[in-house]
Amino acid sequence: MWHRIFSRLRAFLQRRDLDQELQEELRFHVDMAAQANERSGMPRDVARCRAMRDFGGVLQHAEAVRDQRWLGIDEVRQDLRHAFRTFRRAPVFSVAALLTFAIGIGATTATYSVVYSLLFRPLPLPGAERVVSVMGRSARTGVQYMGLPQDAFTALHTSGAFESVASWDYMGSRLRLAAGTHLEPVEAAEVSADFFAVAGVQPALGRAFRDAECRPGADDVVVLSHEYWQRRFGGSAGVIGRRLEFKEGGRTVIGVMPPGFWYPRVRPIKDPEVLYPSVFNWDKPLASAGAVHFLIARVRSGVSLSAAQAAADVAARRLSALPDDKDLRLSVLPFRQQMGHSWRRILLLLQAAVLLLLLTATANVGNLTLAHMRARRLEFAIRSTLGASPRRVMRQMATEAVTLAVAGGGLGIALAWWLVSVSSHLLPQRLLFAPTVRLDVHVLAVGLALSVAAGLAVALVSAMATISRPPWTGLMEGTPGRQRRSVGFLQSGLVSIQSVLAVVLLAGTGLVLHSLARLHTSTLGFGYPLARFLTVEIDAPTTDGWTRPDWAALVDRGLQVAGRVPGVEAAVSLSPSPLSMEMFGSLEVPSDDGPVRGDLTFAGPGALEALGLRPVGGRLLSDTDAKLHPDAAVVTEGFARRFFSMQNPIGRVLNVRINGKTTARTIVGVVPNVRDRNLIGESPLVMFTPFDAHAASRRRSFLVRVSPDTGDIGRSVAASLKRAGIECQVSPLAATRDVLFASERFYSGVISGFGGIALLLVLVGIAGVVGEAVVRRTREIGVRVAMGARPSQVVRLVLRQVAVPTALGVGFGTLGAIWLTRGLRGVLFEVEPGDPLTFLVVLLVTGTSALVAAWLPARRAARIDPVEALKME
Amino acid sequence: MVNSKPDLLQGTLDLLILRTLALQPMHGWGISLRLQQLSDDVLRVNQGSLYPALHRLEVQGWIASEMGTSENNRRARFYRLTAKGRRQLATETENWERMSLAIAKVLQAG
Repeated sequence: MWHRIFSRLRAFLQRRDLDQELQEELRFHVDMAAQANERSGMPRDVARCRAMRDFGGVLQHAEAVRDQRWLGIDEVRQDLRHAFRTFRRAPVFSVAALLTFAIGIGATTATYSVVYSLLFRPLPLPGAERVVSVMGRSARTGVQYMGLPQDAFTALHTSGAFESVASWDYMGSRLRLAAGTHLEPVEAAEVSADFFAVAGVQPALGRAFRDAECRPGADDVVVLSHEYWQRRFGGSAGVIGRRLEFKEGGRTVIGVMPPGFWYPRVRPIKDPEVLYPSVFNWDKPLASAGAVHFLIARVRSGVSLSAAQAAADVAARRLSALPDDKDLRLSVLPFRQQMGHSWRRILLLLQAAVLLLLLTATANVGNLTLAHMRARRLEFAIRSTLGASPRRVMRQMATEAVTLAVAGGGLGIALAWWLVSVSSHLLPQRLLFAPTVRLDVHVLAVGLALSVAAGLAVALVSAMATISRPPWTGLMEGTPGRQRRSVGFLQSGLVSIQSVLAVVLLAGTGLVLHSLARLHTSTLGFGYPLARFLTVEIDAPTTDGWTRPDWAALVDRGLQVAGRVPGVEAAVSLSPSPLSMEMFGSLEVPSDDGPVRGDLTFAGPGALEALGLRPVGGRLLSDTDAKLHPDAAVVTEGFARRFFSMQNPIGRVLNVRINGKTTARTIVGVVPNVRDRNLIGESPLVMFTPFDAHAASRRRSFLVRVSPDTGDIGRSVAASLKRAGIECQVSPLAATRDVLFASERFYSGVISGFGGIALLLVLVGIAGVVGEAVVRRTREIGVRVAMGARPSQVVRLVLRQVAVPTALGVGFGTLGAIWLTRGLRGVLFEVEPGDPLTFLVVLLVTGTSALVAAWLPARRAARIDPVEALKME
Repeated sequence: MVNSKPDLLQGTLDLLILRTLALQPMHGWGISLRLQQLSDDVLRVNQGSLYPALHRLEVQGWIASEMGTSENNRRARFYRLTAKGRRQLATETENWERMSLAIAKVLQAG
C-alpha cells in the first residue's frame, strides 16, 4: 500500500524526469530491435523502419505507461485550463454558479461554526465534560432556583460523587478601583475557594483562595485575570501582595490567572478582570444567613452523570431547604448544555434550514449546469467524434463542476470567516469561545467537504445528461436551436423550494427583529419610557457598626435629596426595583392546582404613580396605607384574572403566603400588567403592597423618574447625592434592560444574518435561472424582436418564467412559516409568531427583491440585437 | 486512450515477466527477446502491453528498476525481481499450474 502511494507520489513529483527516462527506454527498445533486424540481414533503413512498425506508436505506449501512474495528472491540468476557458465563455452561468456555491457554502459553514461554538464545542477547561452546574427545583411548584442555600455545598460535598463543589457568579458584577481622584470600573466575579479546582485551572502566579478566605471579614483578597494584570499592572510580578483600594473595600492581590483563562458562563457577561471570594457565614443559622449561591461542580472521574444526579437527590434530602420551600430537589446539568439553552432548538432548526438551502442551491447549480450542457451538446459531440472516450468527456465535466464548487467554496469559506467574525463582534463577551473559522480545522473541513460534495453532485447531474444520449444526436441537432422553450419543471421546482426556505427564514428574521424593536420601544407596562427611569443604588458607608435603621434613614435621605434635583419628577421607594434581581420576599397564592408563585413588590408612597401605573379598577396605594391598611394590595390585571377570573376583585380578601407565612391581603386596586426581569413569556403575576418594617429596613436602592429631554441627568443626581454625603451608583433602567437582553440580541442578530443570506441565495438562484434562460432563448428572442416585439414585452416574457414558481414558493413558504415560527414563541417579546405586519413586510421584501433579481438579467434579453442573435445559427 | 488487444491471457504476461526476471535483471528489450526465445518463437509480446505491464509490476512492488548501461554501452532501464516479486512468482506459478492442470483435465474428459 505504502509502496504504491509512494511510487505514485514520486511519479507525480518527478514526472518530467520520468517522462524523459520513459522516452529513452522506448527509444532504446526500438534501436535494439533495429539492430537485431540488421543482424538478420536487412538493410539499415529497412531494419529501422520495420522495428518502428513492430513497436507501434511510441507516444501511444508512453501514454499507456503514464496511465499506470498518477491519475493522469496532465489531463487534469488540461481539463482545468479548458474549464477556465469555458467559464469565460459562459459568464452568466459561471457567475451564478460561483455565487450560489459561495453563498451556500459560506452560510452553511458560518452557521455550523456559530452553532457548533454555541452548543457543542467542548468548554475550554480541562476535563470540561465533568463540569456541571447544580440548580434547585421545587418539587411542589416546579419553580427553578439558580441560587441555592450554602448548606447545599456541604450536602453535595459529602455525597462523594463530586470532586469539588464551588460557588460561582453567573451574572458577574463590577467593583470600582480607586485610582487617584476617580474610580475605575473593574469587571468582577465572586467565586469560592474550590472554584479553581472545579474549573481545573489554578493561578499561574501566586495562589488561589483558601477556604478560610471565604469567611466574613477574611475575604479581602483578589485574583487577577492575566489580561487585566498585563493591561493594568504591566505584567509585573510585584503585584502579588499589593493592596488594591476598591470603593467596595480594600483587597490584597494573591494570584494571577494564566493567559486565556475562560471564565465559565451561561450568558453573555464580560470577562471578569478580578475574582474575589464568596463569603459563607457558617456561624449563622441558614434562614437568617439568607445568602444564596450559584453552584458549579466537578463530577468525580468515573462517576456517571446519572450517578451524580442520584447522589444529588440523596444530598437534597439533607438540606434544611429554602425558608419557604420544604421540597427542594437538586438537578445536576452538564455545564455545556446550559449555554444557549432556550435557543438550542431554534439554532438546530436554523442549521437544518441552512443545510437544506445549500442542498437546493446545489441542485440549482446542477440544473443550471444541465441547461448549460444542453447548450454545449455540439461541443461534446465533436469531441466524442474526434476520439474522446466517454470517460474523458465526463472527467472534463467533473473537473469543471468541482473547479466551480471549490472556487465557490473558497469564496464561501472567506464569507463564513467574515460572517463569524461579525457575529463574534455582536457578542464581545466571549460566550462564543474561539469563534474563528480560520483556526478551526473542524469547521474548515466541513466547508471543504461541502464544496467537494456539492461539486461532485453537480458533476453527477451533468454526467447523467451526457450518457443519457449517444453523442451523434448532438451533432444532428446542431446548435441549440430546438429547445424546450420554458424553464424545466425541475428548475421551477427548485426555485419554488428556495423561495419557501427563504420566506421561512425571513419570517423568523422579521419576527426576531420586530421583537427587538418592540423591546427597545416598550415601556414594559409602565406609564413612561424606560429611558426616564433611573435606579439609584446606595453604597454602604465605610464606617463600621452600620445597622438596618441607619440604612433606612440613609435611603430616606437619599430620596429627599434626589427628589430636589432639577429635572427629577419623582424619587420613590420600590423594592425590588424594576428588572432587578433582588428578592424582597416570596409570594405564593394557594389555588386549586397547588400554590402559584407571584412577584411581590413593596411600594413606598407615590411609587405606583411614579411608575405611571393607572388603576383600571379601584385605586392605587395611598401614603397612609402603610399605617392604616398594611394589608392593602394592588395587583396586575393578569393577577386579578388568574385568581378572580371574571369577578370584580376590588375589596376581595386573598390569603397569601409571604416569606412562608400565611397572611391576608385585601385587593384595593388593579393596574395593567408589567414585566419583570424575565422579559419574555407570560406576564408575571405582580402584587404591590405597602412596605412593612422588615422590607423597609432592607432597602438599598430607590427609583427616580426624570422629565423627558434632560440629558445626562444621572450624573447630576449622583453628584447631588455625593454632595449630601451619599455614595451611590446610578443606572438607567434602559441599560439594565439591554444587559438582560444581550443574549437575545445576539441570537437575533445571528438569525437575521442567516435570513438575509437565505434571501441572497434565492435571489442569485432566480437571477441565474432567468439569465440562463435568456442566453438559451437568444435566437428565439431575436426572432421576436425582429418581428417587432417591444423590449417590455420581451422582459415580461422572460419574467413569466420565474414568476409562477416564485409565487408558489412564497405562498407555501408563508404557510410553512406560520407553522414553523410558532417555535419562536418562547423568545419573542410582545410579538406573536404569526404577526401579520411582520409577514406582510417579509412578503413585500421577498417579492420585490425576487422581481429585481429576475429583472436584471431579463433586461439583457430586451437588449438582444436580432441580427446578432440570428447570426448565431 | 489505449487501444490494446490482449494478446495473452489476462495476468499471464505478468507471470511471464516475473519468471523471466527471476533468471537475471534485464531491460525491456531483453525481456521481450527472452520471452520469444524461451517460447520457441510462439509468444510475441506486444510492446504496447509490455511497458505498461512493467510499470504496473513496479507500482505493485514486485519488480524494481534502475537506469544502467546495456551490453552495447547504451543507457537502459534494468528491471529486477524484488523479494516480494519472488513470492508473487511462486504463488502465481502455483496458481497457473493448478489452472492448466484443471483445463487439461477438462479437455481430456471431453
